[in-house]
Amino acid sequence: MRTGRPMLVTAAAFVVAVLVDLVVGYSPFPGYGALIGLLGCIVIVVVSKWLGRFLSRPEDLYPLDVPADVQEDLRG
Amino acid sequence: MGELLWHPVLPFLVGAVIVFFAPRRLGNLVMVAVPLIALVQISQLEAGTSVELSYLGFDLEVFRVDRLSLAFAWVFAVAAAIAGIYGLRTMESRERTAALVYAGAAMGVVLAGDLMTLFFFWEIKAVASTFVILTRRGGNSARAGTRYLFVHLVGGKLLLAGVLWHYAATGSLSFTAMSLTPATSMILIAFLLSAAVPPLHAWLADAYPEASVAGTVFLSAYTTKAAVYALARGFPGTQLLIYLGIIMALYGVVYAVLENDTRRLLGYHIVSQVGYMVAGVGIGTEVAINGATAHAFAHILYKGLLLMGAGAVIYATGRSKMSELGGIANRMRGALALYMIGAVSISSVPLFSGFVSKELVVEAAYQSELGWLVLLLKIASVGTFLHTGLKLPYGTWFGDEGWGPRRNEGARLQVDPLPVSMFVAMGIGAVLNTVIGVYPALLYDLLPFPVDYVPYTLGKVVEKSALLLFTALAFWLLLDQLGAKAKVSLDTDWLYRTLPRLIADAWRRSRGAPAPVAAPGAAAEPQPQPPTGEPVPVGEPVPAAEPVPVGVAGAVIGSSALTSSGAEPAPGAPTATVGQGAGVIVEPGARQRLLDAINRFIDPAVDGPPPVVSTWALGGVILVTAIVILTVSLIP
Repeated sequence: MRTGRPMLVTAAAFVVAVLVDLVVGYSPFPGYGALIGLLGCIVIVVVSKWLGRFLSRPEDLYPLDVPADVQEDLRG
Repeated sequence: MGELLWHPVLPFLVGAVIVFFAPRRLGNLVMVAVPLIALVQISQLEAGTSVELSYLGFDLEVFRVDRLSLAFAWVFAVAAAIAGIYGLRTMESRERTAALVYAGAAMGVVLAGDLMTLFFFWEIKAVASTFVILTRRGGNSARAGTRYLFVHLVGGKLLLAGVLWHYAATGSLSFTAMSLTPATSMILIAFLLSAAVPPLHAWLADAYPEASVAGTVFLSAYTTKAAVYALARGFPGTQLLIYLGIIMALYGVVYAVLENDTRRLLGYHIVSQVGYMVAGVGIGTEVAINGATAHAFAHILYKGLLLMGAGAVIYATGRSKMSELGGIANRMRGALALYMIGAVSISSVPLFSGFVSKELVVEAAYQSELGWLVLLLKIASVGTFLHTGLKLPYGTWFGDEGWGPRRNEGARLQVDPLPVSMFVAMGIGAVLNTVIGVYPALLYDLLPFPVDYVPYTLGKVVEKSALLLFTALAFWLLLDQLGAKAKVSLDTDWLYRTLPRLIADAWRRSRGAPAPVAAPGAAAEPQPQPPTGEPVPVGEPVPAAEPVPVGVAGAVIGSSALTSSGAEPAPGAPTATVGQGAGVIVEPGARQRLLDAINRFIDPAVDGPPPVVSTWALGGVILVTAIVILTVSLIP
């Protein structure tokens, strides 16, 4: 995960989102949508990357398929 | 009976015959005219229309129109128009025939009032869609198409068995809501297979990206959505579907993280989005069925647009892997902009179609007090935006190269201009997605039940906007984690692509057969070799270098693999297939050829070029048999 400016911007936006939610009063709690977006995205990426350690294979997993580096010829 | 003339399947079938024989320009006209005629027919249909007739002693309702089938019929016709226009430049006559039959059969499925008619169109749909894949005649389309056909034939036979059993048990062929019995469970499994519910989903991600660019747009519209219709008609309120739906929604998202191929990534997102519809059917309330229908409608429109965008990149550059793309945004501005409209639609950004359809499913879950389902559906929608809205466009058009032009290649990546017809089709898709998003009443009026849901309230818009904004921020934070890797993911298709070979190897070893040796001629084929150039991270399981088994006939087969399976070599002529490299030249006799063919059949690892001809032959035999049986059955 990157730190620095992206982190700062996210933190600032989160404060704004909480304030907006307080005004609108629709969400179950202030910052609900923002938290789902932020945490959901992180969870999806982390879990998928972890699963990828078991699921990812070299591109010749199915050796009879056209080799992966033939990428010039998909037209036609 | 006169009402049958208004059946929208008719223009599709007539058009399919015309485009097969007609010159290209007339074919272009037919591809546009057929869906328009169907649209006119559908606009004239009224809910409640029904045509019943007796056939072979069965009481059939071959044509039934109600609000549910009408909603699907509308969007099927619109999708045929868009995909047809998109393929005006690229599709050849045979592919057009297959596509029109496919679209017409899907139309027949949703307008079938009994299970026998449903099965009839269901099978035509399966075979026609196979030909849509096969007619690309390149890449892996022959192999993937054959696998697709076999999977769907199994599903079709399950459906037939279930229908006959159901008929024997109840004496009724009527296609209405059914309770779960052993017989209807078989029907349900057939529907689930066609809806791409894991673990029966692998055919989708396997085959869809192997069709031509326009063929994939056709494919994305019909098979899964016809299955959603069938589920909504036959099994509304089946609780199992709620769980299967949410598993689908998340499963597709997880695999999309790992995927490198653009169209395969979008294929996994079809699985994810169909999960919303299946969950909606499982909830089964009026709001939920409305939501499933609305989402199917919107999904066909925006997924078509997304696949047209990905297809435009393939048309322009010839590449589909994000790891080999990037840095071309400056030369594909139009396609990128149109793609992004599809991306914001699928991500349910307010003012676009996904927002008014997907949120209807979420609302149904909320009203049924399924709090966990609401939360998981929202998380799945985060994943949707992450991949189709952020990762895919970033990896395809920008990547490390940024806006472009590409710097790291000796030769600039060639980006061909797109034909106008592609822009027109994508433009129509973009306009429809926006119009539905802005005027949701247009969509809601087509739904099976009255809608009193108001999508645009301040609270809903603010919450959705916050969710999407923070997904984008999280993407920014995690950007270094999300680069596309040149990898493929293990999925359940491994079970029928590799496992049989492993079993065959083990069986051969147990009989003391000589260790498999790569045949000289087979060396041109990509063989699995220990990854040498590519560093493998520690802790990642590395598959053992699999020995390449050579069939019983050993080297003879390896060399005969060089001869095209379709075009037998002329006697005495040197046989070397272009692109396969030179090899040992053998002139097999008739007996040897037969042996080779058998070996090739029983041992999937030993074969030559993609068996296009054999697959066409198989499809032809099936078709001719069907026609003969139909003709015989019509004789009184």
